[in-house]
Amino acid sequence: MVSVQGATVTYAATPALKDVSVDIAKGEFLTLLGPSGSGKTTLLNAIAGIVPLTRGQILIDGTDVTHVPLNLRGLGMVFQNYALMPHLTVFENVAFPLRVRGLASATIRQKVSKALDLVRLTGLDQRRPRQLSGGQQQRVSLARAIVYEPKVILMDEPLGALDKQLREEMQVEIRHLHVVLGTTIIYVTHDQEEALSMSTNIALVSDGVIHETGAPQDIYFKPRSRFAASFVGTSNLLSGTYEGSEGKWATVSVSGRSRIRGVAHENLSIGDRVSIMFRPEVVQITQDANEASPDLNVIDGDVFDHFLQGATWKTIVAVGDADRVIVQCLAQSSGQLPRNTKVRLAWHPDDTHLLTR
Amino acid sequence: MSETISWPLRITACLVLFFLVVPSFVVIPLSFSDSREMMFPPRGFSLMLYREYFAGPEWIAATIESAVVATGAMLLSIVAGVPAAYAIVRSRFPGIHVVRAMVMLPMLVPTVVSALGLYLYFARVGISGTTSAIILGHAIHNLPFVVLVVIAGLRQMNVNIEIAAQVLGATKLRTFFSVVLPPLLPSIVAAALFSFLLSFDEVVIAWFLTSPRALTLPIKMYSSIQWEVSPVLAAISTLLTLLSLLVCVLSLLLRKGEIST
Repeated sequence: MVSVQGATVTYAATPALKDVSVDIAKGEFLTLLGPSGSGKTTLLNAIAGIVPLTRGQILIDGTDVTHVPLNLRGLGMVFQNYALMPHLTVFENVAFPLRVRGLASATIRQKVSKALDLVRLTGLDQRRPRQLSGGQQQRVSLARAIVYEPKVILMDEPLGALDKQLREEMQVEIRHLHVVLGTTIIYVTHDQEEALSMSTNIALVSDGVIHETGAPQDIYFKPRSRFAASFVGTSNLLSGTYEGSEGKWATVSVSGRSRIRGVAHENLSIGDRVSIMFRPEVVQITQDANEASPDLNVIDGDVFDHFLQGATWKTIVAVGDADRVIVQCLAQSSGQLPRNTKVRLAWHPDDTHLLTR
Repeated sequence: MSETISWPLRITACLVLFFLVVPSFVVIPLSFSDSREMMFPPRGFSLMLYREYFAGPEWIAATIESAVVATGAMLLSIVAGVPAAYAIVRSRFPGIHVVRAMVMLPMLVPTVVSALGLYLYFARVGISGTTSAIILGHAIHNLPFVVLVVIAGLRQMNVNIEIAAQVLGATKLRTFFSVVLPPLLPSIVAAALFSFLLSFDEVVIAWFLTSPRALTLPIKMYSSIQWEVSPVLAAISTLLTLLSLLVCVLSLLLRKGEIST
């Protein structure tokens, strides 16, 4: 549906986007996730035609639109600060894209009321934007983006200005719209939870490049890069040396002491420096040195800190000289663990991933 | 902050204010005098001077001339100034600073200098002494003021709204007319009123470009004071003050409306 090929954007000699290529399939909900200044908004604006490419190509529906002005690209867009026209009513704001397309006023009335129903703003059509709450304004902005049925809708941190509760409510609503309309959506956010819960695919953007693209569950549970592992969720990363394979698993020696088994996602040669990555919630923590099954990866350590965080206990365990491992388990399953308690950490090799970059 | 102003400063401020308004306090009572001589304080009260003004065909002709000139200059400066302000605020290209400086130049150059320049240029072109010449001169003179007022209005507007309009399918021209202009209207009207006023009582440029065929009110007033000190001037001055006051109040109201939106 949308294909970005080798997109490079340079602002005053500083590259904001470096040779980025990404393909977005029809009906996909792709989130560009990255920290601020990573280039994710630049990429979105380049697709919209707001920012011209220094090099590269953008295709929409197979047509090269690299040099097509933004008003002829036929995209829908939702902005963080709503960007509603203050002098127009809600109705006229939503009708705007239809008016510029010269539709008959009966058709306009029908389409606008349908769009307003979809975003649950029925009956507010004669209000002015400043008479609405932030959430309502963003709904108007959504209605305005879907009303002319664009094939692709771009969203630039649309929920960034809303408070947490409203944000979660709107997330559900946007997902619902995506399902109902089947539109392709390209969504920009720096909020990893938002990205994980809404998207069909996530592209991780940092320093003007896409580090990794994948389904939310793959990005979360099977990251391919240290950046993905550390930016999305909390990760334990320990560095070690690749030693060879054992059955379907690769083995890694960590600080020369422990042998850890895990899933390798690429071909490695013996002696390669790798990081092993596992999530805090996959680790079991025990005080009994014999309890762990031989099928599991095992590391011994000393409790450094142990505290309640919401519904879970968070335990920080010092292993080796400098490494710390974070363990998270449901609150009722663990009691107090004083500092310096000797503990054994165990987790399954399937939950362990070898990262080389 | 207002509570910490010291007494000497307050007194100075009051004195300055008094100095600024004292001419009006002299002229306004004079305009209601029933004497044919300029005398202060005036004795008696009548509307004789106002009757004299409205009955004098020369005065009315000069007033109409001024109104025509001011309207023309206002229209020209708005038509040129609003797009200029928009370009200055929104576009980024090398040399934009030069363009901005050029637009602001008439405000920095002494009026006499630009008046002389316009006089020589218009004489060359052959339109010296016509109403059009004064309109053109005033339009140039007013342009920076219009641009400044409109820039201030534009700076309060969110550029993303214009980008959104274009992404949604509007051309740049359509965006300008249906997204930029309507919310900018209060600023434009304020700038227009200001431009009208500036032109209506402008003397220096008009003096250089005038002729018996195109005599504006301030010029007519100035020349009449050279031949005979007629107290009718006080009546006209009072009317001019009233006009200024009206325009100021109007533009203030517009600003207020703009802030509340």
